[in-house]
Amino acid sequence: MEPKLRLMIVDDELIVRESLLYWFRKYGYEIETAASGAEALEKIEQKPFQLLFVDIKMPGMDGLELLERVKKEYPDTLVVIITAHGSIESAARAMRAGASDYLLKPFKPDQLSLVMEKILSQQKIASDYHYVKGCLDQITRFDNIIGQSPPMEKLYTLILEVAQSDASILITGETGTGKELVAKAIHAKSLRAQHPFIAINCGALPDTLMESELFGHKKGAFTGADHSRKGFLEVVSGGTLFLDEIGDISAKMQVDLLRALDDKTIFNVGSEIPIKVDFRLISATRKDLEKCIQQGEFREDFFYRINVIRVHLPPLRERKDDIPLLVDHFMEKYSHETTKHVDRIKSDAIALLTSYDWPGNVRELKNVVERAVVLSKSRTLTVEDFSFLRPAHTSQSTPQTLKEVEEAHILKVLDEQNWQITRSAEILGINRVSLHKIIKRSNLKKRA
Amino acid sequence: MKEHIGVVPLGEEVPALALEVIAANITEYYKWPADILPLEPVPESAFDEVRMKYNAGILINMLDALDFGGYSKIVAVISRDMFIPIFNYVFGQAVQGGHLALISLYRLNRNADGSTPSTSLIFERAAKLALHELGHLFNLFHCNETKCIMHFSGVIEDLNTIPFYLCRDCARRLPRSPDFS
Repeated sequence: MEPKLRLMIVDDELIVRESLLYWFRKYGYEIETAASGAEALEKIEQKPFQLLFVDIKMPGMDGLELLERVKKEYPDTLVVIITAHGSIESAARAMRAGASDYLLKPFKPDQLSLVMEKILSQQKIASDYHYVKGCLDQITRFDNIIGQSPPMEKLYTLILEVAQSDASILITGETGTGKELVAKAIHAKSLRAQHPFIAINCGALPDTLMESELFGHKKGAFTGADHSRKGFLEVVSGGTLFLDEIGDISAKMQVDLLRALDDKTIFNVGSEIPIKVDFRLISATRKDLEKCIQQGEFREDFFYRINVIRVHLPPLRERKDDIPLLVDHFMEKYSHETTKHVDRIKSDAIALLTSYDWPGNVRELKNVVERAVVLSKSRTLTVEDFSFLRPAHTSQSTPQTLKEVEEAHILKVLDEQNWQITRSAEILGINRVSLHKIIKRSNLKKRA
Repeated sequence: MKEHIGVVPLGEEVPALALEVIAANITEYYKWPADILPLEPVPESAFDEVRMKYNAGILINMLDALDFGGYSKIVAVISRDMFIPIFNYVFGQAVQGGHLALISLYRLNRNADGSTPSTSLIFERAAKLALHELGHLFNLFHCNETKCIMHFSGVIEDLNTIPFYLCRDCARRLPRSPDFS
C-alpha cells in the first residue's frame, strides 16, 4: 500500500473532480474535492493536505493565484497543476511559482502514475527533512527543557557542571518554571543516572506522613502501621531524592533531614536500628528562604546544607525569545494528544503571547496553548483563540514599596522604548538628565 | 443475492472464449464461482463523438440501471475503446468497493511496439484486467508490490509482467468466498 496521503482535487468541473476522485480512491488515499480556489483554501485552513491537484482555469480565484496563496501560507503542501492543451505557458508559470508538476489534460493513466511516484518521492525527502529537523530540535532542548535563549544556554551549562558533583542543590525559581524538569536533567546527567529518581512534593504531605514516607516505619510504630515499610531515603539508594517545596517542611523535619544528610544514616520510625543511606539531595522552592531564615521560619544550618549549589531558573518573562519555540512544542504535543490538526499560529497571536507577563510561567503557557488547541476550530491559532488572556497582567513578583513600583515602571517604559532615553523620558514626563540619574542610582539594566 | 460473479459481454463482438477465460480465472484465483451472463447491447449514448471513444463512467451508470438477477458482483467486458474525462483511455473501470466493473479488450490486442500479440497473450491480459478490477470491487486498493494483480498497470507491458495472483497482504484482505463461508 502507498503511504496514506491526504489530497484534494480543485476543479470547477464536476466531471473532472469525480474522475480523479474515483481514480485516487483506488489507491486508498484520503481525498477531498473543491469546486473553487476559495473552497480549497477554506478546507486547507481546517486541516492539512499534502497534495493538491489544481486546475488552472477556474472562475474567481484561478489555479495560479491559488498556487501562490498555498505556497505562501502552506509551503509544505505540494501542488500539481492541471491544464488544458494550449496553456503550456501558464504551466511554465506555475512551475516557477512552486508547482511540483503539471499535467496536460486529458492525460494517460500512467502519466498520472509517474507524477504520483515523483510526488511520493518528494514527500519522502520532506519527511526525511522533518526527521533531521526533529534531531536538530533536540539540540534546542535539553532533557525536555525547551529554550535557546541566553539564560537557558547558561542554565544548560550549569546543569552539566553541577551534575558531575555530588553536592546538594537548591533550585529556586517562580512557580511553573520547570524546577522538577531541571532536577531530572541533573539526575540524568549525573553518575547516579542508573539509580532511582524520586520526587516528593513536601507541600502536599502533612508532617507525620512525610516522616513515615521519607524514613519508613516499623510495624506497630503508630496506629495503622500494620506492616513495616521502607522510606524513600532508603528506596532511593544510590539515586537522587528531589524534595519540591522544601520551604514548606516543619522545623522537626528539617532537623531529621539535616541529620540524615550529615550522617548518611537514618532510623525507621519506631526503630533504633541505624540504616545506611546513599542519595543525592536536590531541593526546590519558590520561597525566598533567606527571608524565611530572618523570620525564623527556616533553619539556617539546614539551609546551608541544602544550598551547597544554587540553580536559579529564570521566569518566562525574562526569556521571551523562547516563547515561539515553546508554543510550537506545546501545539505539537496537544495536537497529537487531541488528534486535532492545529499546527500553525498567526504572527499577531505570537506577538500577544510574547507581550504577556506569564506569572504562571511555562506551566501557564502550556495550559493556555492546550486550551487554545482544544477549542480551536481551525488548524491555525489566532489572536481570538487567546482572547481570554489579559495583556496587562501583573507578574507575581509585584514590587511592594513605592520605590520598587517606580523603578519597575521606569524599567518597563525603557524596555518598551528599547532604551531610547529621550523618548522614555518624554513618556515618563521627566527630563533626560533625571532619567539617567535614576538609572544610575537604581542600577537599572537592559533586560536580556 | 447470489454469491456469484457475473461476467457480462457488452456487444456481439466480444469473443466467447475471452469470457470463458475470464470466468475460469476468477474461479481459479479468487475461488468465487463465476457465470457468463447473456449479452447486453453496447449503449451507444456512451459514445463521445469528439474523442471517438466510449465514456467508461456513462457505461458504468448504464450498467447500474440493469437487472442482473441478483449477482453480487458484475464484470462487464467490451471490445470498444474507453476513456474517462481526465484520461485519454482506460483499460478498465470499477467502483471501489461497489458491485460493477468494466474492462475493455480494445487495447489488449496490440503490443507497445505495434506488433500483434498471440491470442493466448490477449486472453491472459483480459483475465488479469478482470481480476484487477474485480479486486477493486472487493475493496482492494492499488498495491506497491509488483508481484501482485492489484499493482497498477498504466501501459500494456505492465499487464504482461504482473502475476494473476494477489500478494499475501492483499490476499489477506480479500473477503472469503462463499465456498469457504
